[in-house]
Amino acid sequence: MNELEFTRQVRRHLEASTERLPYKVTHRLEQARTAALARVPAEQTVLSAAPSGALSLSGSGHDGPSLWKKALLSALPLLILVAGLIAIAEWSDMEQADETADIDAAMLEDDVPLSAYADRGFGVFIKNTGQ
Amino acid sequence: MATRAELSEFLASAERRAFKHAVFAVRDDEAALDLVQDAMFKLAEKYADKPPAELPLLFQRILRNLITDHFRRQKVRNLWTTLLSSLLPESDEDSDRDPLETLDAQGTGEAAESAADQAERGQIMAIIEAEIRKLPARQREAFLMRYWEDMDVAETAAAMGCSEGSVKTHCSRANHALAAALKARGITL
Repeated sequence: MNELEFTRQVRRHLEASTERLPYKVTHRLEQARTAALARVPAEQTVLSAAPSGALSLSGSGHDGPSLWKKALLSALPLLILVAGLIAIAEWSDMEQADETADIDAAMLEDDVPLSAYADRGFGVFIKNTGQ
Repeated sequence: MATRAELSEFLASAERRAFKHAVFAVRDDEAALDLVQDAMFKLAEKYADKPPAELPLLFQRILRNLITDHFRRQKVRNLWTTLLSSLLPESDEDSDRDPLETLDAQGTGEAAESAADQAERGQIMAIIEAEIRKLPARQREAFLMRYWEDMDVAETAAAMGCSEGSVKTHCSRANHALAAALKARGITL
């Protein structure tokens, strides 16, 4: 018998042996196959199911929110936080400006001229009068 | 790109042979099933986007790598088992075990074929499998991939990570060893 015929015969016997595997083994293999197919990445299943030439990120949303919507929803809390911080900073600036304006107005309306506040002797006079 | 149906079809066609490959290598049904399952998972998770024609080679490579990993882990486990068992007292639990209890009952159906033919075929099959199991690992891998998986020399070399010349040598040696072993046991194919 030549080599080719010999390997063909061995192969035939091996093939036959796979047909006689116990049910326990074939059942387990079937389960493993099913579990493996469930592990095929989701995006790949969608891409392979879609007709050729239609592989794009469409926002049609036939099967749930699209990628864009998902990205927007996940970025929403961050946007709200940033907007809140800007609002707080603006409000704080306005408060400070109001306080400064009140002080300026009080000084301008006072009977004492502004240059008096810069005078050291006037400061000592105020201090002593207060005591 | 392989579709889900193509991947399913490939796995269904290859799973039994893959199981046999693994059993020949690790000589344990449960471990072989685990290895085939892991190979299927890896193929589905990482390589399902490959063209269907590439799947057999990829699957063989994955399975082969997993078998190698299995032996590495087993080596480490055996080292620890040896170390720990040398510290533990010997138990004579094994002496009560009856070897006949572990023998599997053969299938009893298939009435169409005569019992004698079936028994003879089963015996030949078992002897061939036993002789294949006895082959050196590299020879066995090359032989099975080349003649059972129908992979050409280049594909087998790629899957085994060796040269085409080595594949041819392994296959030739496996053929001769197998033929001689079967002849010695009085089996003519």
